[in-house]
Amino acid sequence: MVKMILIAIVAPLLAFAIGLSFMMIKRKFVARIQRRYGPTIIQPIFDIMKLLLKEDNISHGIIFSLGPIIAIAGSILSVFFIPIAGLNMLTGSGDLIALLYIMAIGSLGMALGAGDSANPNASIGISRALTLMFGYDLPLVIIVISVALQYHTTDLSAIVAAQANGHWALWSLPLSAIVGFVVTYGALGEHPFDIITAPHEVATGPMVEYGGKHLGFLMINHAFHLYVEIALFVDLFLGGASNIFIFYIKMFAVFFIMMMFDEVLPRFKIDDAVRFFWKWPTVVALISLIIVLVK
Amino acid sequence: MNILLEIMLATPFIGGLLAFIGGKVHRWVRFAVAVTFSFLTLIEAFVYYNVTIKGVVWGSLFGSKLILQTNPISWLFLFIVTAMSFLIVIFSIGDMEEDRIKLDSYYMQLLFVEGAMIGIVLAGDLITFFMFWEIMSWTSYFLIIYGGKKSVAAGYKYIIMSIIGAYSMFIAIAMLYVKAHSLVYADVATTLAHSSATFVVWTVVLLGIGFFVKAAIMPLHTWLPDAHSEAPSPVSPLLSGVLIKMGAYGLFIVLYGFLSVQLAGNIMPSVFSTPILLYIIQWLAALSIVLATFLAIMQEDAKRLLAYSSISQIGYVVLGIATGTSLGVAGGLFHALNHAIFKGLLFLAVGAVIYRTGTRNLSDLGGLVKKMPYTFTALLLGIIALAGVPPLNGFVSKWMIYEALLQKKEVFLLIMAFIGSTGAFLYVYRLIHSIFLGQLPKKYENVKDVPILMQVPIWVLAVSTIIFGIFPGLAMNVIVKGMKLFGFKPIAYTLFGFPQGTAMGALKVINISAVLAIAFVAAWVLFLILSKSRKVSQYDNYAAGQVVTPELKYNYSFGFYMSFGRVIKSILKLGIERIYNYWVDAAKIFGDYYMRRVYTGNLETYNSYIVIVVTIAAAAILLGGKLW
Amino acid sequence: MVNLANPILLVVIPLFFTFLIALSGSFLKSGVKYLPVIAFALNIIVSLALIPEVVKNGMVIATTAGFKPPFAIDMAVDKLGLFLSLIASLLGFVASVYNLFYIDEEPQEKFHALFTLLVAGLTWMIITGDIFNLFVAFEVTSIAAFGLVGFHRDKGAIEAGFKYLVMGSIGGSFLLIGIIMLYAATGTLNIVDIAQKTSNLTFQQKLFPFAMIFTGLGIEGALFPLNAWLPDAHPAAPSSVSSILSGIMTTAAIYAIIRLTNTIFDFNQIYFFLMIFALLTLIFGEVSAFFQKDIKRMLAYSTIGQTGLFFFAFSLNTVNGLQGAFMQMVNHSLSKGMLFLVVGGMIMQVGSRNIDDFAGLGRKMKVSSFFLAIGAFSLMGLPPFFGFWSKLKIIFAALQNANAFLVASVVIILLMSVVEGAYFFKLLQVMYFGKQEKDVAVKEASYGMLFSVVVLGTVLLIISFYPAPVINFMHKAAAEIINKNYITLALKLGGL
Repeated sequence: MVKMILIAIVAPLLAFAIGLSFMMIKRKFVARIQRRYGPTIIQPIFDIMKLLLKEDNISHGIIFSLGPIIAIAGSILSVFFIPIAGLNMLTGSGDLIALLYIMAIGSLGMALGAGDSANPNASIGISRALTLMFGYDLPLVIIVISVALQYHTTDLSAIVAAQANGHWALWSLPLSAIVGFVVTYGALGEHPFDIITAPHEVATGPMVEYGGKHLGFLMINHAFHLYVEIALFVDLFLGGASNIFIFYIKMFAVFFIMMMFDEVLPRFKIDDAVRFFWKWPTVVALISLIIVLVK
Repeated sequence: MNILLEIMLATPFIGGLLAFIGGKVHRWVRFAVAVTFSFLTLIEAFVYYNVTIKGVVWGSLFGSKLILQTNPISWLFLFIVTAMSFLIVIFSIGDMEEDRIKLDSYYMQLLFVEGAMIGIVLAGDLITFFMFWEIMSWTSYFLIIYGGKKSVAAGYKYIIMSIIGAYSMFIAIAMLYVKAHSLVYADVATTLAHSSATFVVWTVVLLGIGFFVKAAIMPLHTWLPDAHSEAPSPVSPLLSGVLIKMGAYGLFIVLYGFLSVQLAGNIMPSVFSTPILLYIIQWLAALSIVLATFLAIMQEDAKRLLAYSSISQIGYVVLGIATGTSLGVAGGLFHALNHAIFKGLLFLAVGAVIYRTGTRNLSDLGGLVKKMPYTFTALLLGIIALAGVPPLNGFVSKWMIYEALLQKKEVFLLIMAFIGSTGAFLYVYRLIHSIFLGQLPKKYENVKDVPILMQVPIWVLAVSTIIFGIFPGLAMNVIVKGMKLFGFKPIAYTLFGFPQGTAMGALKVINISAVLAIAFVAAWVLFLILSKSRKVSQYDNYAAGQVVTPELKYNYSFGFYMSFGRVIKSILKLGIERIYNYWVDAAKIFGDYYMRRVYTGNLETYNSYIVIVVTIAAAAILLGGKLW
Repeated sequence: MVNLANPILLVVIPLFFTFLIALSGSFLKSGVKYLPVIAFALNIIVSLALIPEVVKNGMVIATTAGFKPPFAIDMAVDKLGLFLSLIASLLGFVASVYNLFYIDEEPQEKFHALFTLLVAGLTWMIITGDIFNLFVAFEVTSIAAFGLVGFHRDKGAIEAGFKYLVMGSIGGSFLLIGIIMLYAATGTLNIVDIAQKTSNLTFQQKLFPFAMIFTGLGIEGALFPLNAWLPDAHPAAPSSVSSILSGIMTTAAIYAIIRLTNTIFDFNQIYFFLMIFALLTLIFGEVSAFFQKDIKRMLAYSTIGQTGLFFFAFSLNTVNGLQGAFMQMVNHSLSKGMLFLVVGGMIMQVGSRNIDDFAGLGRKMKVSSFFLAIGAFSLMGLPPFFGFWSKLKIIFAALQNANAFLVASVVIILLMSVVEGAYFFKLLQVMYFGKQEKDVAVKEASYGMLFSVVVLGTVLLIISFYPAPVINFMHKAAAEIINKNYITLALKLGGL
């Protein structure tokens, strides 16, 4: 019982910490690529603290305020369904398919809140976000199905267990893994998929009206989001990890490659993004799926 | 107790007549009668909870017995019918204004439709089934055309397609009758078991066309978007929530009451260990899911959006039922219940919005959350359930269908089912955003939430989405027990979900919802601890230097997914309806042309017809009596 | 005490009243209009009195003039004849009640005399046991009908009456030729007597008279392509007359074909040929009805379609098929008879026969519209109305020994039912939900006219909800026809 409560408290904090660390590294990393010195490495922490402690917060209504709260609640919920370092937590209460939908809770909450701000930029941002989600969902479900069929289960912890001792899905399902990487990348909204927030077009999109503690919450949520997406990829294709450090390293490796891509790519138009996802990633994922089916 | 079956069937019909007569006295008499009788029916339905009655003979026709029966599967649909009808009657009292067309016959038709649907689910033979099926068609036609001018055309399309579907069933029923001389379900099953594959396929296909028209499975769906959107607000949930489920019920009875997976597998080849017939049905359902979802995303009219969504969701029901595995069929049936709940809820909530604002055009609305918070919350629950997001009910049934497809490795169908669900995120968000979020137009500043009589049904359904989401076992109690009667292996379930082994993974919705609730509370507490926020006007907004004024419509709600529309442009261009219209027009021109050539109005021509007939006869006689 | 259970009375009473009306017209003035009502009320009583007799013996035979058949004229009422004569009397009764309020044009006494004669002739046609009498009844009916169709004396009515006159006369001639041929071959006119003597005729010898009689009766019975007079005559005639023409005349003519084909000619080769006729009639009737703007024309074409339907059922030549045909005849007579009466009242109010002018009547003429809807539903074969049961029976019967052709026919029938649904629902939605553009003061039809409608509607509803007696009765009637009980019974009861 005590252990359960401990896990319940530690797991989200750990996830947050990992996500936050990626945010910190990214700021610095981007700056160095752009030949700048960049802010101090703990700048994101300062940002979040500053935002949370701001005294003047504005709100456009209850739903506007609830949006970030639902977003965080959804993200925390997702954390419990992703096994990490041998801890299975709630994977017995919801499998991979359930997780796909659990992960949507936060985004939908966020969308609700942003919609309530009555700002057209926010609405356009959400329209783009949902469209993009529709776009990457097709290859995503295909690779999820491939993995589930490969290991004859949709239980994430079982999938992780089956990949023990280096039998990673990355080796057995390389095509799926590549697509999985692209999809995770798209889900994080990095270049060229940063259509949602696109500062020069829709003024950061859904977040346009958010400030103060609301924005702080959204930044926290972003940390969770980073963690959840990457951790899921690690669990699915890189065999999870037996301890937290290896897990972190694997996650970091994935994140590092992503940052590289992020810096060199321009931005898609939203319909081009959907077309992109429905073309190559889908075709590759289908090929991989058919290989699994035939095998 | 068995006599009650007949009483239950008669109750809504009697109630309808009494409501009609009562309406002549006073409108409150009419309301009271309608509410009382629909409630009575609901109570009577509960008497049969998990009861199986093999057959009560209530007549006989042409040597075939007419039978009423019930079993838990029938009860599931009976529950949907009676409960939804009751709620809709209550909602109607609030919604249908007094000065609109004659309401006496409105309640009569409403209760008649209920009665006809009860007849369908209680039928124990195909004549009874078909009789009530037809009664359902024409009574619901009268309900649809209450919606005013446009609804008349929609109703016309509906009734003609219904008649075509019904006659297709009719041929199958006649074929069965001729073969067995009895249309009692059990006899039909024995007949089919000893029939050739061709006969079975024809029977199922002909019956299936009838069911698919009602269930609006593509390509027989074209009546639905018009009919469901043009019908009056309280009728749309009845159509979308309940009526189209009758097609699913019929399909279930035919596939598993008359046939069985084993039997079908014996007489026809199988694909993915599914008999080919079922496999085709699955594909039709899956195509319905995806295409209807695409169309729903592009709609600008709230009720049309929901109507297309109904086509898509009924696709899940049919897809589940057609999987043929215990899990999939149970998921399909459960989704029928869930869809009735959340689609009923959504149509009622949109009806409430129409009641207050008088429009269902999405781009004219906005920001109503501040004015109609209760309706908003209910609608929010409805869209979460519809989108299949945990912990509400739509998620559980969809999850079951996904798992069933995954178990059978029917990956392409599974992908389509997933896509339909993700697409649902898009259109449900569109719905709630355009109605409730964003800029509140000036003209709706004095809008209030709807009266309590309209709130109650909405909230009963909203709470049901939570109850059936967290406690799927409640529904499984009925479904699994009923499916056992149809020869399915019972699936393992608990009150809260499904243990390991039922599907490829486990599910326990209560844990999901509990953790979500705790996380939500934790985040909220943190939020409250931080300094309080100040509410600002909706015009206090970043608009790139532009000053936002009440006169300016700056809400982004028209063509919400226009860019996505460009992606699916080629699909949107495919118009099944256009193909139908083309043929109908061609037939009309052809018919008109030839009829005018025959009945010219000219006496000489007419007399020459007589000469022709006599000449033919004379020729026949001269040829030695040989007519050919 | 007069023995009421005498079929001759069914003919004698209305004939007597016909002459009474014609003679007393000059001094009774408008009082003559009550005489047909009395006549048909008496006819109903006689028909009802016949029921126990017919049920007991299977047939009632009456002869005239003290001779014995085959030399005497005889009337033979079996189950089917009884049922149809009952409907004829009922329809005649309600239509004559309707006339009290409907006919205000002069010359009244001539109208009522012809009207009574029309129904008398039709009843005669139904119950006669001898083919020459059949011809006489046919001519009596035709003469009355020619006059009634042209009664309004406007251009359309006279044209329609003339067309009908020409075609009807041709039909009568063919019928007469056929009868003469039969007489020449057998030397007798009594149906039963002929039936016994035709058995040694060759197929070819039978075919010629059959072709003639079929053509003659087919003109009256609205079979394609002999029915071309009908779409003109029905709309032109006063509505009560259309009701009789549509409800009874086609039915009676088809009844005569059924009776003669089964009893006298007794060949099986012909049915396929008849089926083609039936299907063509059905298709042309229903499809034409779909395009009509004139409501009475639409109903007239629909009559053609219905005739095709029950003629099809007859041409199946099975007990079930005939049962379906008879049920459909009953359904058609009652529903279509009622529809013409309803529509007559509506036309009186609206002053137009154009369907578009009927817009909004559902709100103003509630009772009329309600019964119109019921009649339309029954004709479409929607449950729980009687038409559903008969359509069910016909389709079941058609698929009994199904071959590809029969299956195709069933598909055609159902397709035409869809067309039928299409135009009836179009009518209903115009009536209930259309918007009246012209500002016409429309009231409900008078109570007397409604009375007729309500009586027919009630009978229809009763047999809709308790179809079992009618269904069983028709089954027995059909079995008797197929098993040729007519001959055996007639022989037993001294019909020969």
